[in-house]
Amino acid sequence: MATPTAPAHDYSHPGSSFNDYTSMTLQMYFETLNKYSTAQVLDVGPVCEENITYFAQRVKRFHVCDMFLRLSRNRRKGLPTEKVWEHLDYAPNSFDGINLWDFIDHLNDADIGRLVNFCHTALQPRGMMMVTSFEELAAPSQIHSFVIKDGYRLNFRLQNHLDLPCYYRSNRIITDMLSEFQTVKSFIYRNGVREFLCIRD
Amino acid sequence: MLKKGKKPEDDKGTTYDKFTEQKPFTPVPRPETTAENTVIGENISIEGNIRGGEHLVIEGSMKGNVEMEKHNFTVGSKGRVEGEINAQNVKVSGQMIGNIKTQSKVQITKEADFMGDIKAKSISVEDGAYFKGSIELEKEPHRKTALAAKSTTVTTTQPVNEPKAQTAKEDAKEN
Repeated sequence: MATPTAPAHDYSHPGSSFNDYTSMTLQMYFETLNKYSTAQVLDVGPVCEENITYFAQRVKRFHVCDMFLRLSRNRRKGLPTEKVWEHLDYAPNSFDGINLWDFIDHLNDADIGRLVNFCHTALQPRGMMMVTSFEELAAPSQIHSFVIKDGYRLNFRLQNHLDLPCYYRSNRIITDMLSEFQTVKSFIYRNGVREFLCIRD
Repeated sequence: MLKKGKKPEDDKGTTYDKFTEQKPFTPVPRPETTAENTVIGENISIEGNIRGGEHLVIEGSMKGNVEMEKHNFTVGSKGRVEGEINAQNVKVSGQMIGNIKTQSKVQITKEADFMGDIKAKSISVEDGAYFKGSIELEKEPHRKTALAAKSTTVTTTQPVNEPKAQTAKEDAKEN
C-alpha cells in the first residue's frame, strides 16, 4: 500500500495555470462506453448539472451517489466517516464505468483503500474507472467540479457548499493505491491535472 | 336568474346571522387550491395514495404514491415526500425518497435531498443538491443515428491537424 501522505497546504493556485483543458481520458472512456448499448455508470459527485445531463444522455442508466456532499456534511457535524461509506451499497459487477473525478484528493489513505475496494467489487470485469488528481502546486484550496463541455473539454466550477480536506500525492503513490487495477492510460496536463484511466482485470 | 332560496354572497339575512352567532365559523384545514395548483401546506401530513387531475405542490409531509400523468408534481423546499411519483413534470426542492417517472421533465433544485430512481425525457439537477439514485432518459429513436451523422460530419469537414486536436495534445503529456 502507499506510503502515508500528509494533508496538502492551503495552496492558492495561480489563476493562469488553473485553466480548462481537453481530457484525453474522458474521450477514451466514452469511446469505450459507447461500445456497450446497456452501459451503466456511477458518478461519486459532486453533483454537476451539465455532467449529469451529459452522461444520462449517453449511457443506458446513470447512477449518482454524491459522496462529496455526504462526507462534507459529516465533517461539518463532526461525525466519523465510516457511516458515509454505507451509501455505496451497490451490488457487485453493477457498473461498466465509475467516475471518481478528484475524490481521492479529499480522502485519507484508509478511505482510499475502502474506495478502491468498493470500485473493484462494483465494476464489472473490464469495467473502467476514471481518476483525476491535482499536482501539488496546482491543487486548488477549494473544491471544484469538472464540468464537461463540447469536444471533451473540461472546465472548473467552484463548489462553495463543500468543505473537505485536500491531500497531495505523487504519481507513484497514486498508482500504488490503484494497483488492484490495470492503469491503461495516464496523462499530465499543463494546468497540473493528472488523469488515470484504470480497468478492472 | 337566481334560483329560489339561493342568496347572493353579500346578502346577510337574519337566519344566516343567527346561525353564525350561535356557532362561530371555524374553517377546516384543507388544501389551498388555486386555479392551477393544489398546495399541501407545511403543517399537514398525508399518508395514502393520491390520484390527481390538477397540479400538486407538497410543502408538508407525504407518504404514499402519486399518480397524475397529465399534471405537475412539486415537492416544495419544506416538503418531505416518500413514495412513487408518476406525473407530467416533477420538481423537487425538498426531501424526497422514492422513484419518479415523468412524461417529460424532472428538475432537482439545489436545496433538494433526493434518493431514488428517475425515468424521464429530460433532467436537470442543480449543483448543491444531494442526489443518490439513477437516471434513465427516454432516448429518441433516431438520436443515435443523428449523433453518428453529426460525428461523421465533424470528422470529414475538419482537417486532420485541426486546432482542437492540437490543443488536446499540447495540454496533455502521456505518462
